[in-house]
Amino acid sequence: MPSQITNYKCPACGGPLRFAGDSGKLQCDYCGSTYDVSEFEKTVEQSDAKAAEEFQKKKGGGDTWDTSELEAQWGPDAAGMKSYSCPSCGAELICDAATAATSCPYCGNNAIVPGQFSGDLKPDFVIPFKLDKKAAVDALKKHYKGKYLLPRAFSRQNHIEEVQGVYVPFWLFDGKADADISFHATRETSRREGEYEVTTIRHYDVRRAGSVEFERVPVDASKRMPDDMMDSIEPFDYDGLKPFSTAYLPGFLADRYDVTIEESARRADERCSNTVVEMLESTVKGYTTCSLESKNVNLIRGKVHYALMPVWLLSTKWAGKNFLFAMNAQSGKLVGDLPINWVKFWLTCAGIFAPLAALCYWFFCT
Amino acid sequence: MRRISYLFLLACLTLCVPVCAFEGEYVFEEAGILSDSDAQTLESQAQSMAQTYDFGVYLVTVDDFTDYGYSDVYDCAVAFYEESELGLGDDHDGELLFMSMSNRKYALVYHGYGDTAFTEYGRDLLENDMLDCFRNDDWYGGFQQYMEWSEYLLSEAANGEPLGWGEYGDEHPDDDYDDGPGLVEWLTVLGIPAVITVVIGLVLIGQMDTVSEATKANEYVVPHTLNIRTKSDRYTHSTETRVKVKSDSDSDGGSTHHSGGGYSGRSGSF
Repeated sequence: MPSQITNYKCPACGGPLRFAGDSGKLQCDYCGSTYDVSEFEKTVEQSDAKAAEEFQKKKGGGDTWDTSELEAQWGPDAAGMKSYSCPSCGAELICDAATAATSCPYCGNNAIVPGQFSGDLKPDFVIPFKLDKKAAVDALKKHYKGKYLLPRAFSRQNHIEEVQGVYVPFWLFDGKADADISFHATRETSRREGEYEVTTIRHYDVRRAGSVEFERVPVDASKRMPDDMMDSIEPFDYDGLKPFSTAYLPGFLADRYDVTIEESARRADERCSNTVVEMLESTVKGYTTCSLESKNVNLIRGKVHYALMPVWLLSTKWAGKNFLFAMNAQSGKLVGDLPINWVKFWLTCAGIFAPLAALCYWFFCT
Repeated sequence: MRRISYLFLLACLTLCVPVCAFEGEYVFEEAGILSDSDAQTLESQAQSMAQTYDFGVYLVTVDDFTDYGYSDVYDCAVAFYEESELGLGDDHDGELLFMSMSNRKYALVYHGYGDTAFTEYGRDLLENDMLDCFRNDDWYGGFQQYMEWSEYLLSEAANGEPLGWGEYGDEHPDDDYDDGPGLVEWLTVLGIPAVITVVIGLVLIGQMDTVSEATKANEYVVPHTLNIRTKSDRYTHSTETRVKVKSDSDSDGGSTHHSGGGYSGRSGSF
């Protein structure tokens, strides 16, 4: 069976290597050896290229599994699945077509699918994981703290079902937004004329036209990741961007993009458009009121970069419902909606309302 | 007949104010704008109210209140009420309509039980109908409105609750009367706690919801790249609104409210 998957083995003991965010090096948990990413890249470059070539060959040719019967039985889901062989133990791994890095459930080896990151699909950048799994778990516990409406049973009984370090694919859009906006503004003055209070409102047609440049507006390119959740863990510090290397991937899951540039650009356009309007509106000063009359925004496309961003995904289950949390593995920002104890909420509302109403009654009616 | 102020009568004589056509216990018609029979009718109505409600309803007309050394018609009316010791009973319960014909000024003065039996709401009704007649120089019609409304308002108060009590927060004549909070009080009592509770509730729920879609890209703006090409602020036109500021010397027909010194009332022009 051709080796489609490359896993990074320790040259000293043969154990699986993983990328350690705190040291920024590849580390062997068995013998404790560490390796610089750049040095190790040279070593594995050749084997990666070979594996990628074989993967592409297999992808395009007739040497694929015959899944026609399975698809008929399992439905359309099977069409989106791929099978690979673990080069370490030989187990067959079935995963999503977009999966680019995973780990073997049988031998625990961290495995990379090199073909997913070659040619057009190869990311330009990667931000390596800076915070480890423990930091993610601690952040989740901290997230629970101070949440008055969080059911106690949730934080006590709740068990973290799964913690996954995932490199999430993002498109980073460069561009320029040019806008021409008209406002109706008024300036109000009042004066006393004898027995009359005279209010004069001066009306103005205000126009602002201008442009502003944007750099690396991120839009997540994975259908599996909720857009709002990925937006909420922004921003990423782009000073931490590194040229892409698969050496950063061991130990984490990684997806390749499955949302196209065109599909993602719509969200970036909307954000840039809103920002340029807001920036131009902020230059309209000295008026009593200012309302938008018309706007014309042109977006000038720039470069698009493909990057992998480090995200810890933590999923928990409570009362039969799943709760997903995401943490920016570079900044530590954790987000995720929490369950609400509605009984406590309404009792609290009643507890606030009743004494206040009594106080008001005493103050206003007695 | 109540004793009319010696000083006031002296002033009338000294200044040769034409003394009038009719002078009874309740109607002092110095300006001579009513016929004797009309004045007698009004006097009878006032006497009837005095017997029924033990409350004095007075009507005074003069040519020009400034002849008596006052610059404000309400002050002049209060002085008249006080100096003449108007009103019935120990508390001098009564109501006075004081008319100054040459400068078309009037004042309504309430004292004692009049303060509470005539609510601000009731005074509005009385004043509106009365002034409608005066503006058309229908003097007798206006005085009739004054008498009729006064009787109606006194009868409502005698039945237990002054007309429109609570509309403008008037005091109830019966100190022991307790009808509970009005609509405004209930809205205040329930509204303020409700708003505070909703705000706190939203803050608590907001803590639980930390996920939202981004709508702006402010953090990704390249520094110093905002280039404003056009910046024009063109004046187009102006609009002007005039609102009359009410004052004691208001002369557009609206009335000024007064209170203090045991009296309350209002004054204005007709």
